[in-house]
Amino acid sequence: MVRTRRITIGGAAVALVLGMVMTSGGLAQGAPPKVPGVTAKQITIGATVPLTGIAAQGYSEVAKAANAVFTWVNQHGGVNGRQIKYVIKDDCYGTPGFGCTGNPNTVALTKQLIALPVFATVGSLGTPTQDSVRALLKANHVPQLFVNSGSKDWNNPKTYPGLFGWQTSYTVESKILGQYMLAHFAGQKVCFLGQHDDFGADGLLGLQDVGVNPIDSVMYDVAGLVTGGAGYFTPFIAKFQSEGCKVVYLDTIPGATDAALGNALALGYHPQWVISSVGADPVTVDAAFAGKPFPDPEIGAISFSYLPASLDTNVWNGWMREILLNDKADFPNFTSTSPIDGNMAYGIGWGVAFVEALKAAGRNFTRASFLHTLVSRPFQTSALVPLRYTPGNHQGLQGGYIVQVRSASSTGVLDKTVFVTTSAAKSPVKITTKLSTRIPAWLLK
Amino acid sequence: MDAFLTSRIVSDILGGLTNGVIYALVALSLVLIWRSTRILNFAQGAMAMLAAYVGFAVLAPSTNYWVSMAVAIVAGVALGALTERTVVRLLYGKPEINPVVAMVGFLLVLESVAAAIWSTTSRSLPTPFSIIDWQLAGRPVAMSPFALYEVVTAVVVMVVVALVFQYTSVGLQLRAAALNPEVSRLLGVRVTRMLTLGWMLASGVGAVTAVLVASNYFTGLTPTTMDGVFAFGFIAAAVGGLDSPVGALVAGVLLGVVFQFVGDFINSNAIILVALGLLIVSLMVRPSGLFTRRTERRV
Repeated sequence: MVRTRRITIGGAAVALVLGMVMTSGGLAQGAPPKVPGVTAKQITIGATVPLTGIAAQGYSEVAKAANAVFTWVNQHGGVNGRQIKYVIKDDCYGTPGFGCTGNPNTVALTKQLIALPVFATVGSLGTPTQDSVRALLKANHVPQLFVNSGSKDWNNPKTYPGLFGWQTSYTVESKILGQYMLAHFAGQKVCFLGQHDDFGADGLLGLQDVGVNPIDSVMYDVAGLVTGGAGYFTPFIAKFQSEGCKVVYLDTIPGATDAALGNALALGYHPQWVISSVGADPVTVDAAFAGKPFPDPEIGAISFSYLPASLDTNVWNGWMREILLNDKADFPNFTSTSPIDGNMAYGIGWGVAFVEALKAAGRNFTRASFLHTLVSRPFQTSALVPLRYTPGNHQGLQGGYIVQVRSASSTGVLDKTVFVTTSAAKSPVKITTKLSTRIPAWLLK
Repeated sequence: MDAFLTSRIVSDILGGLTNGVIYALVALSLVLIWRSTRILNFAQGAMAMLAAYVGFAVLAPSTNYWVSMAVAIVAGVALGALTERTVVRLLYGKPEINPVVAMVGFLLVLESVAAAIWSTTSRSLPTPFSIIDWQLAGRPVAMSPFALYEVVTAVVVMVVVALVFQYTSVGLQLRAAALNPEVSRLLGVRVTRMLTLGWMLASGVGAVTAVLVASNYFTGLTPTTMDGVFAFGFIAAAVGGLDSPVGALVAGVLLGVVFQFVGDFINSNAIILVALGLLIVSLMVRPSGLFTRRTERRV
């Protein structure tokens, strides 16, 4: 039954795609160019993200937060007279089960988006999932923008000219954090726990690149965590404890951060935690500890942020609250006192980047001219440093600052120094003063 | 003595014991259902998860732990009865693959329902005792007040189930209905009622397990909390013998300890490999389980 339906959907998608390709071929002959997904009044974009299933914890909010930006912009007249329609498909991170109510087939969902058609996919989430549709999107000339992952896979303009990352790469982040560790925890034993894929591998490379050499580095498997629960991490953490590591660096997703912190707590082990922004969001991490008879063990942990910290007086924080409050459809329970978590700030960040780029592209644009706009100038977003792509670099943000978890729901900036670097080996970590400027005036009306 | 208690070997045994009793409880629920209705309840973990949610989500977060635990058990028992009456009853006498597919489907439905109602964000459950390990001479003993509470609770549940089966009239009828439904019916045992009761008992045990798992594991309660625990409990039940409650318990505890040693002395990443290896070997060598007497009941 399920199989039949899949085949039917797949068949329909293929037919639609074929139809679309033939139509656009016909139009290329003469008539003014018709851009897929763009009409006089509307631009349609889409994304595949985990709204349910294994990766939904926290991450389900990201695309909704971007949609809050689009909702706000639409209510104020849209961009260059066009309303933004954002089609979000739940792909459960490509993993069936675990409460997945979407379709864990990212490829099939992406084909549906292509068939709509969409102008581009924007903010689709996941390294393995987005890797699986790179070629498909390229073959259909659909830009793949602001992929939600810190993998280096998105920075390959020669092979994938329409593919763009958004956040800092795992390596950029660990290089900047590593530099901080050298300055503040010099001579202390460091242990490393990372995810057994490019997340952990690139992160470890970055640390070693700046001269932090962990005495023990362990890679965990997500499937092991799912099957073994937090107990799977006990031997790792117990080993770090017996080896006398005073500093533990985590390249972990939020659930894994919980498992690491919880095990250490149970063992009476209190190292200085340094946690990648991927798994450090205090609100998400605290969910597992709320109401327990001990303080949130994440408090005091050092992390990195390319977005304004929640306790920062950054001008964007107030604006983010306003647009989240405005989007009752996506955030029905968000109140004026709710914390803005890292996932919301993340989605708002590239939501702003997209509307900025769309505005800059002008009223009459094509996919090619839009991409050209994207690599021609910096964009002001809610991220700390301007978003700057070049024809040769599609990675995304290149810097941020060091933050510390201050409470179960907030992070504060340690000092306001903003660092930048690149993923390339031996490229230095530098202090920058070129920060994102004020909120663009047209977003304030 | 202190050095001995905090040694690697003793730590692994104690840690393994704590995990193992949980696997044993899951295995026990599976065995109870298998014995009474010859159905492998793949939705067992999800049913337990839902019961835990009902216990802790329906009531306000500030509610007393013990009240919530009681509500979860009642919800588990009710869900067991409801499942048997509505889903399972249609599967009796059908080809063996039918219940397997139906229960896997039911698992997906339950997890999706929980995700739809309570979202996939993990929910912290209160812990009645500290989860921080006792320390001796500055080193942790792999046992915390909460872990001890887990072990004690598991033992109490097992003893209660054993007493019900061995020494009560209901227990006798349960065993009779499972062993020979036709003869039991002729002797006046209300077999269908006993089958429902078997499911209720198993689901009640499941609810206790889920509450223990969700409040101890630092990942909190999510719709998928029980997935991994269920996998290991299932392996324990298969290794110990689906017909043998004692086998399930022994295998559960043993597996817990073995996994802890594997994680400590080899690598945590090897645990699943070892678990599946054990399952395959046990199915090849003794398909009916280590503790099941060979019978020729199914001809």
